[in-house]
Parts: sequence; C-alpha cells; structure tokens
Amino acid sequence: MRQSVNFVPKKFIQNATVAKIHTYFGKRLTEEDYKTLTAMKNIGEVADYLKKNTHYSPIFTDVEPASVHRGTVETLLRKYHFEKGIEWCNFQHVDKEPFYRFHYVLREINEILNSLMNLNAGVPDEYIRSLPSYLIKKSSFDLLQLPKIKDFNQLLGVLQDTPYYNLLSDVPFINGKINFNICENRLRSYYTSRILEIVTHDFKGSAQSKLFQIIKSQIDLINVINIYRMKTYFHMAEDEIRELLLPASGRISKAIENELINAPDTEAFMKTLSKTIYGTGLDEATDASSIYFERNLTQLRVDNARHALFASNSAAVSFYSALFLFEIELKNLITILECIRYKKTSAYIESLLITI
Amino acid sequence: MPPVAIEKMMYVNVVGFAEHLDATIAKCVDSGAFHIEDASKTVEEDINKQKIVQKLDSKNPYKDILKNLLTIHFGEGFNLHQTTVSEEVQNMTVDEMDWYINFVAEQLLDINNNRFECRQIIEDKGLVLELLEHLNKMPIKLEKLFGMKNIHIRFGKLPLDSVPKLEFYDSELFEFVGYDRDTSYQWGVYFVPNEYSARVDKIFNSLYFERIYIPPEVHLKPDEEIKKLEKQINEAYEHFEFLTRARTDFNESVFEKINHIYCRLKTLYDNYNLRTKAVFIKNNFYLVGFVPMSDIGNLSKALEDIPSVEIIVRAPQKDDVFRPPVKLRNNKFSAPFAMFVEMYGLPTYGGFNPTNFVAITYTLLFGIMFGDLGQGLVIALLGALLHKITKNEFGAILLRIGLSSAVFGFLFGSVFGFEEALDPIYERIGISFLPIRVMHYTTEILGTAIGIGVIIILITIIFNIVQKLKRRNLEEAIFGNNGIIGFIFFASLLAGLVAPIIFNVNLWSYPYVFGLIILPVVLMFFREPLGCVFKGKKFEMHTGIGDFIATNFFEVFEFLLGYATNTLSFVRIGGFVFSHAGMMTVVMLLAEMANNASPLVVILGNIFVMGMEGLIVGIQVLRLEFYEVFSRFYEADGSNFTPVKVKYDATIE
Repeated sequence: MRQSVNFVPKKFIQNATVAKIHTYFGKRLTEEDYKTLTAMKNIGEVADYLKKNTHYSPIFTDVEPASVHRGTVETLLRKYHFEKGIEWCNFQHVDKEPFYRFHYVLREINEILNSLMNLNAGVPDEYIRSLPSYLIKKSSFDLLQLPKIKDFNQLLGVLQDTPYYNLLSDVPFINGKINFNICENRLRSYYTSRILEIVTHDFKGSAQSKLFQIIKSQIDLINVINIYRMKTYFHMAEDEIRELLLPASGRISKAIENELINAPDTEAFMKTLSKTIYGTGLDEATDASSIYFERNLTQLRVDNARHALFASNSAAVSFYSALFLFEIELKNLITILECIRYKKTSAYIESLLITI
Repeated sequence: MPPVAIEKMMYVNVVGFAEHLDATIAKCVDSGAFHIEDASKTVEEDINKQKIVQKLDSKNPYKDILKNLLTIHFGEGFNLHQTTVSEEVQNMTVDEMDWYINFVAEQLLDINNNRFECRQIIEDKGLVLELLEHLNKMPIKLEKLFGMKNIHIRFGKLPLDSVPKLEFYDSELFEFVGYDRDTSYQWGVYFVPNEYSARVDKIFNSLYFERIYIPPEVHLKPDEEIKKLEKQINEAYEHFEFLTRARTDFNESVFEKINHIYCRLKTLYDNYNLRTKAVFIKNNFYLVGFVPMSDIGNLSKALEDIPSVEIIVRAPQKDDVFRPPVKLRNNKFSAPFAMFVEMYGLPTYGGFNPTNFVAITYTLLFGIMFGDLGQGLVIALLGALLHKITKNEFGAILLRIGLSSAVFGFLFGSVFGFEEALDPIYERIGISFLPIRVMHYTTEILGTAIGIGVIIILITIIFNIVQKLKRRNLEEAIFGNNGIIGFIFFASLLAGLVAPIIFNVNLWSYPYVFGLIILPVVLMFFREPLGCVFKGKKFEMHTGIGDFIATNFFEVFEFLLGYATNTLSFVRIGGFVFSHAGMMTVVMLLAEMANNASPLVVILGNIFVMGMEGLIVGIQVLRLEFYEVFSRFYEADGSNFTPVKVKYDATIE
C-alpha cells in the first residue's frame, strides 16, 4: 500500500489532506455550543457537554465529569489539539517535510518561555505543573530537565544542542533577572524567519504566495497587537517597541509601522490603522480604548486564517490556518473553564470568546 | 402589472393610541401575514435630532417568569410545545401563572434533588466498586491497610500526562503503585509516611490526582466489600427508579396546564418584544411592515375591533426605506421545487420566479438521465411515502422525478435493467421505433442532449431580455451577451452549424456571417456606449482607451467561451443516459455470473444504482440549473417574507 502512494502525484496526496482538514473544521464548536457552555455552572458540566456533544468526545471516554480536575480537562484539550496536528501530517505522510514540523518548534518555544517565566519568578520547579508530558518524546531537548534548573546557565545547558542556545546565550540581565522580552522576541523572530525560509525554499507558485500571504498577515497583526499592548499597558519608548517587533512584515509598510509606534493616543493609533487593509476589516464601531480592542484584532487574525483555509487547496495553507483556528477554539474553552471557576456571568464570558 | 408568481406585497402603516399597541401587535401576529419592519428607520433623523419620536426600550415584564418556567427540569418525554391555550389559562392573571409555575418548580425541585442524591450515591459507590474490582484478589482486609499507624495510603487515578512527571519527585518520600490503566488515567495507590503526607498530597494534587475516598464503612476484604457495594448500589438504583416514576406521575398531572401557561406566556413575551419595532410620536404608536395583498382584507377586519387604530395601505415605492420581502406563489406541481430556488436565493421583488421553469426542466432532465421504468416507479413510491409520512417537500420532488424516470424508462425499454422486458408491449402497441436502445443511438442521444441544452439556454436568454426590458436596462436587454444581440448571435451560430447537417443547407454567406455573427460581436463589444446612446445619455470613459479595449475584448471573449462551455455542459445529459445503461449492463453481467444468486444480485445492484446514480444525477441536474440556467437571467437578492409569529422554542433572548 505504501509503495502505491509513491506513484500518486503529490497534488492528489495533498488534496486528501486538505479534505481531511476541511472535514474536521466542519466539526468546530458553534455559537450554540458556546452559548450552552458559558451558561454552565461547573467544570463537570462543561466536561460532560464536551463529552456528549462535540468532536472532543474521544478524549473524555474514561473521564468522570463529576470528579475531573479543571487542569486535567485543560491538559486533555491541549494534548488533543497537538495530536490532531500530528494526525493530519501522518495522514498522507507529509510529517517528514520541514514545514509540517513548525508546530513542534512553536510549542518548544512556548515551553522554554514558560520555564523562563518561572525562573524569573523564583520558582523554576513550579514549571513541572504545566509541563506537557505529551511533548516529552517529540521535543528536540530533554523537557524533563527544565523543572530541575536553578538558574539561566542551567537552562542554556539543557538547550545546548539546539538552535535556541545561540539565540539566548547573550541575552542581558536586568536587576538579576533575564530580560524575558528579549528572549521572547528572539525566539519568536527565529520561528518566524525559519518558517518563511522554509516556505521560500520548499514551495512554489500559488502555494508559496498564499503561505506568504497568510503568515505575513498574521505577523502584521501580531505586531499591531504588540505595539498596542506595549504603548497602552507598559508605556514603552518607541525604540524599545521597535526592538521587540517581529522582523518580517506583510502589508504594513515601515512608514505605517512607525506611525503606529509614534501615535500619541488611541485616536491617532486608530486613524493610522484605518489606513491599512486591516483597519478596513475592523468594525466601524471599534474603539482602540475599548477593552475588546485586542479581541477584535485577534478576530481579524481568525478571519484571515478562515479565508485562507477556504480559498486555498494547498495542504500547507490548510494545515497552518486550521492549526491556528483550533488554537483559538482551545483558548476559548480554557477561557470558559477559568471564567466558570471564578463564577463569571455567561454574558461576560461570551464577550471574551472569538468565533472561528 | 403585478409580478407573475411572486405574491404582491402592500406597504402598511398602522397607527393608533399607545395604549392599544399590545392589542394591535397581537392581532398582527394572529393574522400570520404581517412582515414587520423597524419603524424607527423611516424616521431615523427625527429620532436623533428632534426627539419628538421615541423608540421603546424597556425590559420585557414576562422575561423572568418565562425564564423560571423554562428552567424547570421535567425529565424525558415532557417537552414544551405549541398548543391551543385553554380558556382557564387565558383567564389567569400573570400573578396566578407565576404562582402555579413556582408551585410546580418547587415540587419538581424536591424530586429532582432526591434523584440527584441517589445518582450521587450510585456514582460514588460505583467509583469505589470500580476501584475495589481492581483489588479483587487482595487477601488483606481494608481496615488493616487503613489502620496503619505510620503510613497513609491514598487510592485514586492519575492522568496519564502526569505519570512521567513523577520522576521529577524521585527524591520525595512516597511510593506510587499503579495497578491498572485506561485511555486517560493510571489507576493506583500511593503510600506516604504520616509526617510527609501533607506535602506529598499537595504534590499529587498539583499533578491532578483524582483521589477516590473509600468510605469508613468499607473495611472488609475487597471481594466481600464488592458484594456489599453492589447491594447498596442496587437499592439506590431502585429508589432512583421510584423517584423517576413519582416525577412522571406528577408531570402527568400538571404538564398540560403548564404547557398552556408556557404558550400563553411565550405569546405575551414575543408580542412584547415586537414593541421595539414601533416608534412613538406623542401619544401615538406607529408600526410599518408588508402584508400580501390577498391578506389585507383580513388584517383590516381584525384591526377594526381596536378603537383608535388606523391602517394605511399603499403599493411599495422605489424610494421606500424598506424593500418588499418575497413570498413565492407556485402551483401544485412546481411548489416542492421552491426548495431548490430558495437554496440559490429568492428572486428580487418584481423579478422573475423561476420555480415553474426549474420544476419542468429538472423533472425532464432527471427523467432522461435516469430513465428506467422500474427504478423510476420505486423512487416515485418512496417519495410519495416520504411526503405522506413526514410532509417533507423532498419526497414530493422524488415523486415527480420518479414518474418522469418511469416515462423515459418506458421509452428506453428498461425495467430494472432488463432491456427486453417491454418488447412484447411495444409489439402489441405497434410502435416500431420503440424502444430507443440508447447504446445504438449514441450520436443521436448526444445530439439531442446538446439540442435540449440549446433550447434551455435560448429560453433563459429570452427570460433575461424580458426582465431587463421591464427594468428599462436597455444596455443589457439589447446589447448584453444574454440580450437580443446575444440571442441573435447564438441562434445564428447554431443554425449555421446545424443546417448543413440536418437540412443540407449552407447558411454561411457573407451577409449571414457579417450581419448575424460578426456584427453582434461588435455590438456586444460596444454595449456600454450603445446603451448610453439608447438612454439618451453621454457615454463617459472612466479609463483610458487602451483599458477600455482590453477590458471589453476579454469580456466578449468570456461571453463567447461561455456560450460554448454552457452548451457543451449539457452533453452530460447524454453521458448519464449511457452511464445508467452501462451500470445496469454490469449488474446483469454479475447476475449471470452468480447463477443461483442472480435474483439477489439484480436486487442489490438495482438498489445500489438507484442510490448512487440517483444521487449523482440529482446533483448534476441541480448544477445545470444553478450554473447554466440561473447564471443567465436570475437575480437572487430578495429577502424572505417572514410574518411575525410566536416562536415556541425553549430559548429567550
């Protein structure tokens, strides 16, 4: 059977992967599901609903909704999301291609940053709680060593044989703590550059142009969200902000980027943003001073990804877009779990969710 | 002149004193013919500027009481549904209804709480039972294990994700022993010295260890305790069943009245929400909407009973704020096919209702592509049953296309794939050219398929011309590719191609080519400026001459290509005639090979072909309708006529 696959043109192999991803996307949670979930009173009810009514039911087979921990539910959901990505790659054996391994790199980066946060907080061993065991065997370094580190040098020791070592080895310290922002920026910039390099090298024609389009538009929106955050919450200087942006850009020119960074207030920020293609995608009533502004920008990222998923028949574009979209669905579910724990109203919870 | 097959709508204003608004809304809802619009949109500027006009924005007074009713958990088999409200409930005050709802809610809460407790007992003891089953063969009494003075033991289950993390705690003083594993958990027990138990409990808590508490009364050996627990669980289960029966009995005594109260409250609630569509000017309310012309009389009569209410009716105007909604009016034959039209989109008000055309062409094309007398009759029968039992319109469609397949099956001489079964009938009737053996007339069948396609395309072009002329869109009506010039070009080209073959006449003279082929193409190229000339307007070129030429060149090229591709698309009609015949031939061949099992093979083969090919042919015909037919003339931007009514569902806003 394996041998016969080699005689099938790559295009047809990839069409099957696209069809599989699209089929799975059709099972995503609906507004009705969210409405029902946000009205629930405890974690058990949420687990029970997910078990009986959604595509997450396989992971709850042996779970007793009445007694399950919130943390267990979150872990099961994250693991399912991760394994889904692997399943799509394995379906037509595209898992060996470099592009389809990007989601491993992203997760490794997230774990390094989690460990760093705990290290800076003075509780590096607490990282053990959030360490995802399902990633241990897939990771390019020994994840289980991360909770054992006591200082930054030991972290570098764990990352010795990985590309992350060179990225982090000369990061400066501030007040005895490693500069987390620079670490994050270097790691995410590495990820961005690497994935764009792979796209340049391994793809051609419309698949390549569509991949560039979706990836770069995501980078643009991440940068806009980060500029907004750094100005609004941290009141950072323009130079500092520039240093922490992701390097590549799509449809936001350097001039516009500078205008956003230098905007004196939210009104000026919105005025500049409205000149871009992303500004036209925002609701007219969107206000940069609103607490939902970031949510609206994230919704734009989701709309871009959904459009890319449906407009392309490239497996790579479908894979990238679908993974992002289901990451949002996962975040929605975790938001619901946390809000239920803190007894928030369903109207409040719904206002935080992003529909895919 | 009212639009054909689209219900004529009248624009209606209803005015009256504010205190009569609720009664007016109730009458409008009862009429089942009032499509309401937001009146504030007709006076938007006044609302913002002068403030003499107000919109109602107050809380619905029936919301809380209705919500209270909807949260009552009746259990299975008791679902709130639409029904005629009894006189008793009609005469109840809101307070009385509230009291009754609270009474029922309290009684059921009591029963449900007791059931919940039983279920908890069953679940808790079930967990312990499950745990003990893993330890079935342990010969030690549990009281001895739990009686240890210096060691604490904890039974439970650890998520599989947490198991590798235990290695991190190698230096801690505990021992975890796993004894079973499922897809999500490692079942086990950990032993810890007393003085470290708090610390180790915290570690396991952070690993999401789900502890299973063994009740103090569980102290014997596991196998003995299992028997005890099974007995307790059975007793709890029996009590649960008893409570369920008690709940059912209670529901049977109260449900009818509660259901009537629900219907009444839902009506009051939905009607109250409609108040937000009204505006108030001084002490008067003002409602707007659309009503089918045939229902105006009934509505006027119903509103006569309410003093102060006046209804002003007129025909919709072009500059009205609201576009009239669309309600299709179809005859009995074509009514089920409205489903396909609505799938594509409703026609514009004043436009053309294509349902009749779809009904005829769909039935005809399906019949040709799926021609088999026996299979057609089976499909028709299934459709008739489906429609009768479920009232599903798709069943009615199956009935029509099934009969059409049967007719063509008779012409093709095919009955469940038996090509010679009808020969005696033809001989008796004395028609020499029947049956039409499809495999012997391939060229004729393909030619006929294209011919049918050409006729359909020409008809759709005529539809487009008529519609565009009605709308005074002279550019498209005359010079468009689906206009008069396009019709002349297409018809002339086909006549030129077909005449030599069928009539042995050569039409390709210079006047013919220049006047009927080249000139129409040139006129299509210049349709925009020519359209302006006809309208008496000056043509303005918004782009350069180069852009104008390039754009129109490619558009005309697209038109010409469209004619060719749309025509050839109909070849699939012939293709499916052959494929159907071919598939039945294969079934017959397999039946011959199967010898004794041949009747079974024939039956299964027919079922398979009916299912698979029926589905494919249905989809292909729909594709022809949507793409080749509708794209030429159909504008589907109408909005649906949705008269206000009470929604008897379990959701409230």
